[in-house]
Amino acid sequence: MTVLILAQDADAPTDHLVAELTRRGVAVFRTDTSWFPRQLVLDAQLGPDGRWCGSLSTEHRSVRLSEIRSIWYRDPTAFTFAAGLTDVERAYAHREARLGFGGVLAALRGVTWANMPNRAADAMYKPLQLATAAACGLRVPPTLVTNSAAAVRRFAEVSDTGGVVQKSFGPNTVTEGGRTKVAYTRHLDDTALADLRGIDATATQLQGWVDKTSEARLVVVGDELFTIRITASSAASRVDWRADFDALSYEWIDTPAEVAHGVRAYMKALGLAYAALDFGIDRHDQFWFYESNGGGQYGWLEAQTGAPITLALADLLQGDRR
Amino acid sequence: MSTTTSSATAMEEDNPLSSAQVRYELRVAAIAEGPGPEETRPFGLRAAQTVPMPVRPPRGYCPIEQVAVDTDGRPLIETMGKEWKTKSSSDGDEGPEENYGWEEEADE
Repeated sequence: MTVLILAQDADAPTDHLVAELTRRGVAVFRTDTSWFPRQLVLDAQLGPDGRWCGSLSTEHRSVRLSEIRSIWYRDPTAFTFAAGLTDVERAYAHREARLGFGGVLAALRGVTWANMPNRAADAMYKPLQLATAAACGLRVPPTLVTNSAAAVRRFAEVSDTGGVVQKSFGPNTVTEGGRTKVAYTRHLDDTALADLRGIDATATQLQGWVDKTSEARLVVVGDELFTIRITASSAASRVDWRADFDALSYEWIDTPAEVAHGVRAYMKALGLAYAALDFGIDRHDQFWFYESNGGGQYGWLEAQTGAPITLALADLLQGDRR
Repeated sequence: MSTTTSSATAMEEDNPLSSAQVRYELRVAAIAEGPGPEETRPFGLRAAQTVPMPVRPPRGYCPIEQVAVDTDGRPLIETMGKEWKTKSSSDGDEGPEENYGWEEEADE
Protein backbone atom coordinates (compact mmCIF):
# COMPACT_ATOMS: atom_id res chain seq x y z
CA MET A 1 0.00 0.00 0.00
CA THR A 2 1.21 3.49 -0.78
CA VAL A 3 0.48 6.95 0.56
CA LEU A 4 0.11 9.46 -2.26
CA ILE A 5 1.14 12.96 -1.25
CA LEU A 6 0.19 15.92 -3.40
CA ALA A 7 2.17 18.89 -2.13
CA GLN A 8 4.62 21.54 -3.18
CA ASP A 9 8.28 20.59 -3.46
CA ALA A 10 9.27 22.90 -0.61
CA ASP A 11 6.96 22.24 2.29
CA ALA A 12 8.55 21.52 5.65
CA PRO A 13 5.60 19.80 7.34
CA THR A 14 5.27 17.50 4.34
CA ASP A 15 8.98 16.68 4.52
CA HIS A 16 8.50 15.65 8.14
CA LEU A 17 5.51 13.53 7.17
CA VAL A 18 7.47 11.84 4.36
CA ALA A 19 10.32 11.14 6.77
CA GLU A 20 7.97 9.66 9.37
CA LEU A 21 6.16 7.43 6.89
CA THR A 22 9.48 6.31 5.41
CA ARG A 23 10.79 5.54 8.91
CA ARG A 24 7.75 3.31 9.41
CA GLY A 25 8.43 1.49 6.16
CA VAL A 26 5.33 2.91 4.49
CA ALA A 27 5.67 3.46 0.75
CA VAL A 28 5.24 7.12 -0.25
CA PHE A 29 4.71 8.59 -3.67
CA ARG A 30 5.11 12.36 -3.39
CA THR A 31 4.37 14.63 -6.27
CA ASP A 32 2.95 18.05 -7.02
CA THR A 33 0.16 18.60 -9.47
CA SER A 34 2.50 21.09 -11.15
CA TRP A 35 4.48 18.08 -12.35
CA PHE A 36 1.57 17.04 -14.55
CA PRO A 37 1.75 16.53 -17.49
CA ARG A 38 5.43 17.18 -18.13
CA GLN A 39 7.09 15.25 -15.28
CA LEU A 40 4.26 13.04 -14.12
CA VAL A 41 2.64 10.40 -16.30
CA LEU A 42 -0.86 9.08 -15.72
CA ASP A 43 -1.76 5.78 -17.36
CA ALA A 44 -5.26 4.84 -16.21
CA GLN A 45 -7.65 2.38 -17.78
CA LEU A 46 -11.13 1.51 -16.60
CA GLY A 47 -11.32 -2.17 -15.77
CA PRO A 48 -14.29 -4.49 -16.24
CA ASP A 49 -14.96 -4.26 -12.51
CA GLY A 50 -15.45 -0.52 -12.73
CA ARG A 51 -12.14 0.29 -11.07
CA TRP A 52 -9.47 2.49 -12.55
CA CYS A 53 -6.21 0.62 -12.86
CA GLY A 54 -2.82 1.69 -14.14
CA SER A 55 -0.13 3.88 -12.69
CA LEU A 56 1.31 7.26 -11.83
CA SER A 57 4.96 7.53 -12.78
CA THR A 58 7.85 9.93 -12.65
CA GLU A 59 11.38 9.47 -13.86
CA HIS A 60 12.29 8.09 -10.44
CA ARG A 61 9.34 6.07 -9.16
CA SER A 62 5.96 4.67 -9.98
CA VAL A 63 2.84 3.66 -8.09
CA ARG A 64 0.00 1.48 -9.24
CA LEU A 65 -3.36 3.14 -8.75
CA SER A 66 -4.64 0.03 -7.01
CA GLU A 67 -1.89 0.40 -4.39
CA ILE A 68 -2.92 3.90 -3.29
CA ARG A 69 -4.36 3.64 0.20
CA SER A 70 -4.59 7.28 1.13
CA ILE A 71 -4.00 10.73 -0.31
CA TRP A 72 -2.66 13.76 1.57
CA TYR A 73 -3.81 16.78 -0.41
CA ARG A 74 -1.61 19.54 0.93
CA ASP A 75 -1.98 22.73 -1.08
CA PRO A 76 -0.44 21.53 -4.35
CA THR A 77 0.15 23.97 -7.18
CA ALA A 78 -1.27 24.41 -10.64
CA PHE A 79 -0.67 22.07 -13.52
CA THR A 80 2.22 23.29 -15.67
CA PHE A 81 2.04 23.08 -19.42
CA ALA A 82 4.41 23.70 -22.30
CA ALA A 83 5.33 27.34 -22.80
CA GLY A 84 4.10 27.39 -26.38
CA LEU A 85 0.42 26.94 -25.58
CA THR A 86 -1.92 29.80 -26.35
CA ASP A 87 -4.17 31.10 -23.58
CA VAL A 88 -7.04 29.18 -25.14
CA GLU A 89 -5.04 25.98 -25.35
CA ARG A 90 -3.77 26.46 -21.80
CA ALA A 91 -7.27 26.98 -20.42
CA TYR A 92 -8.49 23.90 -22.25
CA ALA A 93 -5.51 21.90 -21.00
CA HIS A 94 -6.19 23.03 -17.41
CA ARG A 95 -9.81 21.94 -17.59
CA GLU A 96 -8.92 18.60 -19.10
CA ALA A 97 -6.19 17.97 -16.53
CA ARG A 98 -8.42 18.95 -13.63
CA LEU A 99 -11.32 16.84 -14.77
CA GLY A 100 -9.30 13.95 -16.21
CA PHE A 101 -6.33 13.63 -13.87
CA GLY A 102 -8.35 14.80 -10.89
CA GLY A 103 -11.30 12.71 -11.95
CA VAL A 104 -9.32 9.47 -11.96
CA LEU A 105 -8.00 10.15 -8.47
CA ALA A 106 -11.47 11.07 -7.25
CA ALA A 107 -12.81 7.79 -8.61
CA LEU A 108 -10.32 5.56 -6.79
CA ARG A 109 -12.17 3.30 -4.40
CA GLY A 110 -11.29 2.64 -0.81
CA VAL A 111 -8.93 5.60 -0.59
CA THR A 112 -8.74 7.82 2.50
CA TRP A 113 -8.48 11.45 1.42
CA ALA A 114 -7.27 14.21 3.65
CA ASN A 115 -9.00 16.06 2.23
CA MET A 116 -11.03 15.21 -0.82
CA PRO A 117 -10.53 18.39 -2.92
CA ASN A 118 -14.21 18.83 -3.65
CA ARG A 119 -15.17 18.53 0.02
CA ALA A 120 -12.43 21.00 0.89
CA ALA A 121 -13.68 23.39 -1.76
CA ASP A 122 -17.25 23.18 -0.48
CA ALA A 123 -16.00 23.84 3.05
CA MET A 124 -14.30 27.06 2.00
CA TYR A 125 -17.60 28.91 2.29
CA LYS A 126 -17.47 30.71 5.63
CA PRO A 127 -21.25 31.12 5.84
CA LEU A 128 -21.56 27.35 5.36
CA GLN A 129 -18.91 26.82 8.04
CA LEU A 130 -20.72 29.04 10.51
CA ALA A 131 -24.12 27.50 9.86
CA THR A 132 -22.70 23.99 10.07
CA ALA A 133 -20.82 24.77 13.28
CA ALA A 134 -23.95 26.18 14.88
CA ALA A 135 -25.97 23.18 13.78
CA CYS A 136 -23.33 20.93 15.34
CA GLY A 137 -23.68 22.62 18.71
CA LEU A 138 -20.67 24.93 18.59
CA ARG A 139 -21.01 28.52 19.77
CA VAL A 140 -20.87 30.95 16.87
CA PRO A 141 -20.65 34.75 17.18
CA PRO A 142 -23.50 36.85 15.78
CA THR A 143 -22.65 37.28 12.10
CA LEU A 144 -23.82 39.59 9.35
CA VAL A 145 -23.21 39.22 5.63
CA THR A 146 -24.28 42.22 3.64
CA ASN A 147 -23.55 44.91 1.08
CA SER A 148 -25.80 47.37 2.90
CA ALA A 149 -24.36 50.16 5.06
CA ALA A 150 -27.71 50.44 6.83
CA ALA A 151 -27.54 46.79 7.78
CA VAL A 152 -24.02 47.28 9.15
CA ARG A 153 -25.18 50.18 11.34
CA ARG A 154 -28.17 48.19 12.57
CA PHE A 155 -25.95 45.20 13.37
CA ALA A 156 -23.40 47.36 15.21
CA GLU A 157 -26.05 49.21 17.21
CA VAL A 158 -27.54 46.06 18.68
CA SER A 159 -24.23 44.33 19.29
CA ASP A 160 -23.84 43.88 23.04
CA THR A 161 -20.51 42.06 23.08
CA GLY A 162 -18.15 45.01 22.88
CA GLY A 163 -18.37 46.00 19.27
CA VAL A 164 -18.07 44.33 15.92
CA VAL A 165 -15.24 43.13 13.71
CA GLN A 166 -14.95 42.85 9.96
CA LYS A 167 -13.15 39.93 8.39
CA SER A 168 -12.71 38.53 4.92
CA PHE A 169 -14.45 35.45 3.61
CA GLY A 170 -11.50 34.28 1.57
CA PRO A 171 -7.85 35.11 0.92
CA ASN A 172 -7.08 38.41 2.61
CA THR A 173 -3.70 38.94 0.99
CA VAL A 174 -3.42 41.25 -2.03
CA THR A 175 -0.60 42.68 -4.10
CA GLU A 176 -0.70 46.39 -4.84
CA GLY A 177 2.12 48.58 -6.04
CA GLY A 178 4.53 45.67 -5.80
CA ARG A 179 3.79 45.21 -2.12
CA THR A 180 2.01 42.41 -0.34
CA LYS A 181 -0.81 43.63 1.87
CA VAL A 182 -2.97 41.79 4.35
CA ALA A 183 -6.46 42.75 5.39
CA TYR A 184 -6.42 41.50 8.96
CA THR A 185 -9.55 41.14 11.02
CA ARG A 186 -10.49 44.68 11.99
CA HIS A 187 -12.28 45.93 15.08
CA LEU A 188 -14.64 48.66 13.89
CA ASP A 189 -14.63 51.71 16.13
CA ASP A 190 -16.98 54.68 15.81
CA THR A 191 -14.70 56.32 13.26
CA ALA A 192 -14.74 53.25 11.04
CA LEU A 193 -18.49 52.88 11.35
CA ALA A 194 -18.95 56.53 10.39
CA ASP A 195 -17.34 55.94 7.00
CA LEU A 196 -18.80 52.87 5.38
CA ARG A 197 -17.75 53.61 1.85
CA GLY A 198 -17.05 50.37 0.05
CA ILE A 199 -19.56 48.29 1.96
CA ASP A 200 -21.66 48.23 -1.18
CA ALA A 201 -18.67 47.18 -3.32
CA THR A 202 -19.13 43.53 -2.46
CA ALA A 203 -20.28 41.13 0.27
CA THR A 204 -18.87 42.04 3.67
CA GLN A 205 -18.73 39.89 6.81
CA LEU A 206 -19.16 41.39 10.26
CA GLN A 207 -19.20 39.54 13.54
CA GLY A 208 -19.91 40.43 17.11
CA TRP A 209 -16.68 40.88 19.05
CA VAL A 210 -15.89 37.92 21.30
CA ASP A 211 -14.57 39.21 24.62
CA LYS A 212 -11.80 36.65 24.57
CA THR A 213 -8.92 35.98 26.91
CA SER A 214 -7.15 33.80 24.37
CA GLU A 215 -7.75 31.94 21.14
CA ALA A 216 -7.23 28.40 19.99
CA ARG A 217 -6.34 26.58 16.84
CA LEU A 218 -7.84 23.12 16.95
CA VAL A 219 -6.17 20.77 14.50
CA VAL A 220 -8.25 17.75 13.56
CA VAL A 221 -6.59 14.66 12.11
CA GLY A 222 -9.16 11.92 11.67
CA ASP A 223 -10.41 11.23 15.18
CA GLU A 224 -7.50 13.00 16.83
CA LEU A 225 -7.92 16.54 18.14
CA PHE A 226 -5.04 18.84 19.05
CA THR A 227 -6.09 22.08 20.70
CA ILE A 228 -3.43 24.75 20.97
CA ARG A 229 -4.24 27.80 23.08
CA ILE A 230 -2.83 30.99 21.57
CA THR A 231 -2.42 33.88 23.96
CA ALA A 232 -1.76 37.33 22.55
CA SER A 233 0.11 40.08 24.36
CA SER A 234 -0.19 43.00 21.95
CA ALA A 235 -3.13 45.12 20.87
CA ALA A 236 -2.90 44.03 17.24
CA SER A 237 -2.64 40.34 18.00
CA ARG A 238 -5.59 40.46 20.40
CA VAL A 239 -7.81 41.35 17.46
CA ASP A 240 -6.11 39.06 14.91
CA TRP A 241 -3.25 36.91 16.15
CA ARG A 242 -1.81 36.74 12.64
CA ALA A 243 -0.97 40.43 12.89
CA ASP A 244 1.84 40.01 15.44
CA PHE A 245 3.33 36.54 15.77
CA ASP A 246 6.09 37.75 18.07
CA ALA A 247 3.47 38.61 20.70
CA LEU A 248 2.04 35.09 20.90
CA SER A 249 2.54 32.24 23.31
CA TYR A 250 1.27 28.71 22.85
CA GLU A 251 -0.03 25.91 25.06
CA TRP A 252 -1.29 22.45 24.10
CA ILE A 253 -4.47 21.99 26.15
CA ASP A 254 -7.22 19.44 26.55
CA THR A 255 -10.16 19.82 24.22
CA PRO A 256 -13.37 20.47 26.17
CA ALA A 257 -15.75 17.56 25.71
CA GLU A 258 -18.59 19.64 24.27
CA VAL A 259 -16.20 21.25 21.79
CA ALA A 260 -14.80 17.89 20.75
CA HIS A 261 -18.33 16.57 20.23
CA GLY A 262 -19.28 19.56 18.09
CA VAL A 263 -16.07 19.49 16.08
CA ARG A 264 -16.41 15.81 15.24
CA ALA A 265 -19.98 16.41 14.09
CA TYR A 266 -18.74 19.38 12.04
CA MET A 267 -16.05 17.32 10.32
CA LYS A 268 -18.53 14.58 9.53
CA ALA A 269 -21.09 17.04 8.18
CA LEU A 270 -18.56 18.58 5.78
CA GLY A 271 -16.83 15.33 4.88
CA LEU A 272 -13.40 16.44 6.10
CA ALA A 273 -10.61 14.29 7.53
CA TYR A 274 -8.27 17.19 8.29
CA ALA A 275 -8.91 20.78 9.28
CA ALA A 276 -7.55 23.57 11.42
CA LEU A 277 -10.37 25.31 13.27
CA ASP A 278 -9.97 28.68 14.94
CA PHE A 279 -11.81 29.64 18.11
CA GLY A 280 -11.97 32.52 20.54
CA ILE A 281 -11.96 31.56 24.24
CA ASP A 282 -13.90 33.87 26.53
CA ARG A 283 -13.40 34.53 30.24
CA HIS A 284 -15.73 31.64 31.05
CA ASP A 285 -13.52 29.29 28.99
CA GLN A 286 -16.24 28.96 26.41
CA PHE A 287 -15.08 28.31 22.86
CA TRP A 288 -16.48 30.46 20.04
CA PHE A 289 -16.08 29.10 16.52
CA TYR A 290 -14.59 31.55 14.02
CA GLU A 291 -13.71 29.51 10.98
CA SER A 292 -12.05 26.38 9.70
CA ASN A 293 -9.45 25.76 7.06
CA GLY A 294 -9.10 22.48 5.23
CA GLY A 295 -5.48 23.26 4.44
CA GLY A 296 -4.62 25.08 7.66
CA GLN A 297 -1.05 25.18 8.89
CA TYR A 298 0.04 23.15 11.88
CA GLY A 299 3.83 22.85 11.65
CA TRP A 300 4.67 25.83 13.80
CA LEU A 301 2.20 24.75 16.47
CA GLU A 302 3.71 21.28 16.58
CA ALA A 303 7.18 22.74 16.96
CA GLN A 304 6.06 25.18 19.65
CA THR A 305 4.12 22.70 21.77
CA GLY A 306 5.26 19.20 20.91
CA ALA A 307 1.74 18.16 19.91
CA PRO A 308 2.37 15.06 17.75
CA ILE A 309 0.34 16.16 14.74
CA THR A 310 2.71 14.67 12.16
CA LEU A 311 2.49 11.29 13.90
CA ALA A 312 -1.29 11.47 13.86
CA LEU A 313 -1.25 12.31 10.17
CA ALA A 314 1.04 9.37 9.51
CA ASP A 315 -1.33 7.13 11.49
CA LEU A 316 -4.30 8.37 9.50
CA LEU A 317 -2.64 7.95 6.13
CA GLN A 318 -1.09 4.62 7.06
CA GLY A 319 -4.54 3.41 7.96
CA ASP A 320 -4.23 2.94 11.71
CA ARG A 321 -6.86 5.54 12.42
CA ARG A 322 -9.82 6.69 10.37
CA MET B 1 -4.97 55.14 -10.91
CA SER B 2 -4.81 51.44 -10.68
CA THR B 3 -4.44 48.84 -13.35
CA THR B 4 -5.49 45.36 -12.48
CA THR B 5 -4.08 42.37 -14.25
CA SER B 6 -5.71 39.03 -13.78
CA SER B 7 -3.50 36.03 -14.17
CA ALA B 8 -4.51 33.89 -17.12
CA THR B 9 -4.24 30.81 -14.99
CA ALA B 10 -5.33 32.32 -11.70
CA MET B 11 -8.41 30.22 -11.23
CA GLU B 12 -6.48 27.03 -11.72
CA GLU B 13 -3.64 27.90 -9.37
CA ASP B 14 -5.39 26.87 -6.20
CA ASN B 15 -6.88 23.53 -5.39
CA PRO B 16 -6.07 22.18 -8.85
CA LEU B 17 -8.01 18.97 -8.49
CA SER B 18 -11.30 20.44 -7.34
CA SER B 19 -14.12 20.14 -9.81
CA ALA B 20 -16.12 22.61 -7.75
CA GLN B 21 -13.74 25.40 -8.60
CA VAL B 22 -14.42 24.93 -12.25
CA ARG B 23 -17.85 26.31 -11.43
CA TYR B 24 -16.97 28.81 -8.72
CA GLU B 25 -14.02 31.13 -8.96
CA LEU B 26 -13.17 31.51 -5.30
CA ARG B 27 -9.50 32.36 -5.38
CA VAL B 28 -8.66 34.55 -8.32
CA ALA B 29 -5.24 36.12 -7.90
CA ALA B 30 -4.58 39.60 -9.25
CA ILE B 31 -2.12 42.43 -8.94
CA ALA B 32 -2.61 46.19 -9.23
CA GLU B 33 -0.41 49.26 -9.31
CA GLY B 34 -2.20 50.67 -6.27
CA PRO B 35 -5.51 51.01 -4.45
CA GLY B 36 -8.54 52.27 -6.31
CA PRO B 37 -10.80 55.14 -5.19
CA GLU B 38 -12.10 55.01 -1.61
CA GLU B 39 -15.66 55.19 -2.89
CA THR B 40 -15.39 51.86 -4.64
CA ARG B 41 -12.62 50.08 -2.77
CA PRO B 42 -14.13 47.12 -0.88
CA PHE B 43 -14.54 47.96 2.78
CA GLY B 44 -12.58 44.90 3.76
CA LEU B 45 -9.46 46.22 2.03
CA ARG B 46 -9.58 49.72 3.51
CA ALA B 47 -7.19 48.86 6.35
CA ALA B 48 -4.95 46.39 4.52
CA GLN B 49 -1.41 46.54 5.87
CA THR B 50 1.84 46.05 4.02
CA VAL B 51 3.76 42.98 5.16
CA PRO B 52 7.30 41.83 4.33
CA MET B 53 7.78 39.80 1.20
CA PRO B 54 9.07 36.29 1.84
CA VAL B 55 12.37 35.33 0.30
CA ARG B 56 13.29 31.73 -0.24
CA PRO B 57 16.94 30.74 0.09
CA PRO B 58 18.39 28.51 -2.65
CA ARG B 59 17.23 24.95 -2.33
CA GLY B 60 16.48 21.87 -4.38
CA TYR B 61 14.37 18.76 -4.26
CA CYS B 62 15.64 15.21 -3.90
CA PRO B 63 13.43 12.88 -5.95
CA ILE B 64 14.87 9.86 -4.16
CA GLU B 65 14.29 10.99 -0.57
CA GLN B 66 11.26 13.05 -1.69
CA VAL B 67 12.20 16.01 0.49
CA ALA B 68 13.65 19.49 -0.02
CA VAL B 69 17.44 19.74 0.17
CA ASP B 70 20.03 22.48 0.50
CA THR B 71 22.58 23.34 -2.15
CA ASP B 72 24.79 20.51 -0.89
CA GLY B 73 21.98 17.99 -1.24
CA ARG B 74 21.27 17.64 2.48
CA PRO B 75 17.62 17.44 3.62
CA LEU B 76 16.52 20.77 5.02
CA ILE B 77 14.60 19.10 7.83
CA GLU B 78 17.98 17.86 9.07
CA THR B 79 20.11 20.91 8.48
CA MET B 80 17.62 23.57 9.50
CA GLY B 81 16.08 21.78 12.48
CA LYS B 82 13.28 23.63 14.17
CA GLU B 83 14.74 27.04 13.59
CA TRP B 84 13.08 27.67 10.27
CA LYS B 85 10.53 30.33 10.69
CA THR B 86 8.47 32.17 8.23
CA LYS B 87 5.16 33.80 7.78
CA SER B 88 3.75 32.43 4.62
CA SER B 89 0.39 32.93 3.02
CA SER B 90 -0.13 29.32 2.14
CA ASP B 91 -2.72 28.68 4.80
CA GLY B 92 -5.57 28.14 2.44
CA ASP B 93 -7.81 31.14 2.64
CA GLU B 94 -6.51 32.93 5.67
CA GLY B 95 -3.53 35.09 4.89
CA PRO B 96 -0.14 34.83 6.52
CA GLU B 97 0.47 32.08 8.97
CA GLU B 98 3.57 31.46 10.91
CA ASN B 99 4.83 28.16 9.71
CA TYR B 100 8.01 26.24 9.42
CA GLY B 101 9.41 26.44 5.97
CA TRP B 102 12.33 27.86 4.12
CA GLU B 103 11.30 31.39 3.50
CA GLU B 104 12.77 34.37 5.22
CA GLU B 105 11.35 37.83 5.45
CA ALA B 106 12.90 40.40 3.19
CA ASP B 107 13.97 43.75 4.54
CA GLU B 108 11.45 46.46 3.89
